[in-house]
Amino acid sequence: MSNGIVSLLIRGGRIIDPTQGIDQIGDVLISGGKVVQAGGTVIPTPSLSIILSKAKNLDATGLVVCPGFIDLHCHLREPGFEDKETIATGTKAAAEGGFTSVCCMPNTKPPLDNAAVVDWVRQKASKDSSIGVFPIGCITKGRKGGELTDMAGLAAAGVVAFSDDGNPVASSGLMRRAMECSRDLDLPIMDHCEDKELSGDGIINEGKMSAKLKLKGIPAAAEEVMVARDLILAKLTGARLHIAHVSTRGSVELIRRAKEAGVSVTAEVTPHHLTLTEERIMREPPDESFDANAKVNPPLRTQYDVQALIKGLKDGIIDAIATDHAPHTPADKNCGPELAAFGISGLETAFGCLMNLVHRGEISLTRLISKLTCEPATVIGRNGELGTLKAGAPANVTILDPDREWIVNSRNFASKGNNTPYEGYQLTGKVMATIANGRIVYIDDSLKVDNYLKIGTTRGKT
Amino acid sequence: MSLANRSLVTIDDLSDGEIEALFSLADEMADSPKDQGELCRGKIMASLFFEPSTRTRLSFEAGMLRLGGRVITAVDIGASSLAKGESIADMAKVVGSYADIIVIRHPWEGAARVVADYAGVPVINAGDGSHEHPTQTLCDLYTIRKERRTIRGLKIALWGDLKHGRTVHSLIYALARFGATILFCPGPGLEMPEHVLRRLSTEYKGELRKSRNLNQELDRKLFPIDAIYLTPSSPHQLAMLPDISVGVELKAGVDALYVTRLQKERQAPTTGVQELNKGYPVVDKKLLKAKGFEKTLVMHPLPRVDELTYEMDADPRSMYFKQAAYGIPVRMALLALLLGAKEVTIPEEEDSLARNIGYPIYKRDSGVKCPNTNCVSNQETEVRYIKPKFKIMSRQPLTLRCIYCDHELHPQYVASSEWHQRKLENKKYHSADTQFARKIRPENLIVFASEDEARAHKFKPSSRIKP
Repeated sequence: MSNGIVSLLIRGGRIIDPTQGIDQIGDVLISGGKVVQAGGTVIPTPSLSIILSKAKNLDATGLVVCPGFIDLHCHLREPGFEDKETIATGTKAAAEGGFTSVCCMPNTKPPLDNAAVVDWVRQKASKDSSIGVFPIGCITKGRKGGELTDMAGLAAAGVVAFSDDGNPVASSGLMRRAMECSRDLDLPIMDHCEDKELSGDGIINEGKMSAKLKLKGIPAAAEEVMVARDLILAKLTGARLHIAHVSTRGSVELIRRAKEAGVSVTAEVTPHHLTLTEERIMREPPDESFDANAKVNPPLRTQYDVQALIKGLKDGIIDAIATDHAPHTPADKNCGPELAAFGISGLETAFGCLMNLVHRGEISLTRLISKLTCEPATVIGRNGELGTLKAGAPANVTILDPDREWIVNSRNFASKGNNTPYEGYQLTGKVMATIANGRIVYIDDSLKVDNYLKIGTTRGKT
Repeated sequence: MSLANRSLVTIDDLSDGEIEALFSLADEMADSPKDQGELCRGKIMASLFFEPSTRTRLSFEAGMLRLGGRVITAVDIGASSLAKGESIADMAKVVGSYADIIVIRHPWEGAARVVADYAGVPVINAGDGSHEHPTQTLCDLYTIRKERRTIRGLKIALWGDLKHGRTVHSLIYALARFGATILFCPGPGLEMPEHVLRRLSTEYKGELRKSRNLNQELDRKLFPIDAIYLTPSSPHQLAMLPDISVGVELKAGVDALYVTRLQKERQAPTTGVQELNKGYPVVDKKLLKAKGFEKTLVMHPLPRVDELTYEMDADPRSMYFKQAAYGIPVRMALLALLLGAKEVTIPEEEDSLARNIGYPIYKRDSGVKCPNTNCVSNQETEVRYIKPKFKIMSRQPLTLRCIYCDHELHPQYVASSEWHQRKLENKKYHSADTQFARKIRPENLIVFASEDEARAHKFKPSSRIKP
């Protein structure tokens, strides 16, 4: 029982593990921070009885048991912006959202552009976080787009990818060299695709709503131009490219063609781009005012784009769902449409709002789980270790209730960022428990963990 | 790629590419069936047969023994566990802890799905009521592919009892997926059920033509056709020149004739078997003399009764004994794959001919039940833990399909969970065919089979429903 690692028998849940092709009702046994058995009925054979005698018991009847979610894209804000979020609060929010591993973006202060800061984040995470934190390193020094970082040094310090999130590398020549380096290091480049010349100081999607509200728009082309450039460079260099938060139909089409041509590219989409449209930027009538909580970059797009994103997810063009969790303080948000910061605090609402797609019949639960577990693990080259319930893999498990209805209340968020466009929404589908590296890091109040041999031991005493 | 831990409950559990890969492995097994003795050494297969079967069970057991595995068998279990009122989920868990793989045949439709959910080991459906029999389908496809190299573009006629035969139901969906044109030639009163035809026309990309339109076009001399499914895959003239009649197309000949026997045991007791026997079409040398049958493969899942004469046996066109013999390599390949003893490379998939439709699932506890009395979700021992679940197939008319047995139902009354939120006076139900009712989003839909049921759930009739 030391340091919180438990032996736990999760009984009677519907186990879904896309890596092993499992979808069945059965038991999951974890012990010593590893998965011992997933599927079937756990019976106290001689080899298991020692584990079982100390094991806790969790009744998961009616619930879904799957590998822990992996978020490829979130902002933990530490160091530098501790008023927005810290590693401690951000990873707590991730745990409540069912995530057992998160990749944190390097747009901190100082940015993660040298091995020392990366080391510091990993040290801090090992103390403050109960889930896995995987830092992403900068492509250029200070995210300024001028000079490449010591990418080999960053790789040695343990970054899982490179990105200048929010400040995409504008110079194609520099990007080419970055890709050549990352190819040799066998790490992906994650690019936030945006041509700053085109997006300018735009606020929302360029189109119907920007005209109606008389706000500056960000055209879909701002994203697509950059996606096209990066795909061409990836083809040239043979590097692994990961397109962050795809938001337009055109980008999906570009990625589809690149994949068909054999370019080594993967892509992610956020829950909000899959479930909300540009109309959400305006509050419900009769209020009809600008809602800064729906201001995000890339902006919420049209229904036409949302349909293409969902189809891309189904067809395997888009590999992963990542939250782009970007917490902000109320002061950063409530300062008018122009000055309000971009971003949505998304870790805790991700699964609930994605389940809407499943309930509507757009994608299957198995596919959704695959996009949150094994496919993102493959993007960062950790497949086989993360995102699976194979015996011997680290015990990262998420327990879900696909039918539980709950209402989003940002005041109850573990994250410091309350900036959610889902405030007050009724969502169907909730994370009930999260187990990271064998520790129960989040459990819903309605679930109970008791001792496996409770009945046996009390009988023994009397 | 490994198919370990997967179950085969319906033919749709395997993708086109996976079936192709399975067939290549079956070729390997057929070439040297005696050299596979190490593949599954130490593994145990449990065969549970709640219904009589000789061929299917023996071919599974022979296949497992050839792979070096061992077999435990329970036949005629009706007397033991079912009589004690044990649920099949309990049985599945128990047997799942004895064996590495389960093969099950059960009279209840959807039973194999439940066993696969609970067993914890791979499960192979060897027939569940008149629902599906996927391994027979695999053998049928394998036979056609062996003889004709491909299935794409072939014309395959289904003959006889199309109403009850589970083998034909599994088979037509697979044929549609692999791009065959299908001709339906049922015995009188044994037509393909409407829901099967509807599924064929909605979920696959081909075109379905019913007999009414066909009769004028068809050369009556050939044989009577009730309906025809035209695949989009073949370069046949019909797709490009709609004026050319089906008859002209058929002059080129039928590639395979799939004969089925009259399923006496599944007839409703009211219809006289004698009467049905009388009009049942027989396949004999005379019929097959016609020009269109010159190169036709004659297939039959066996056992045969009178519908296929013995004089056909020596004919080079008859395939049915070969078909039965192919059961061994196909089942060996399947067992080896699901047990993880072999890995395969899945060939690049061509454009799928199945429309990939994700239907919303309806699982609210509003009292609707599957209309099929033979469905596993309606059995006394199973209702304790199985909740009815349906796919919402269409809204006009409102159609739900049971996820266990694929039977359809058409509830008459609906309500929305959104409109009445926290306001009891708003809890109203509506007639399912109103414009209003169709607008309810699937995730908010509540359905009722009758008005009484709606009232029992404390819903009031909406103003448009006349009392």
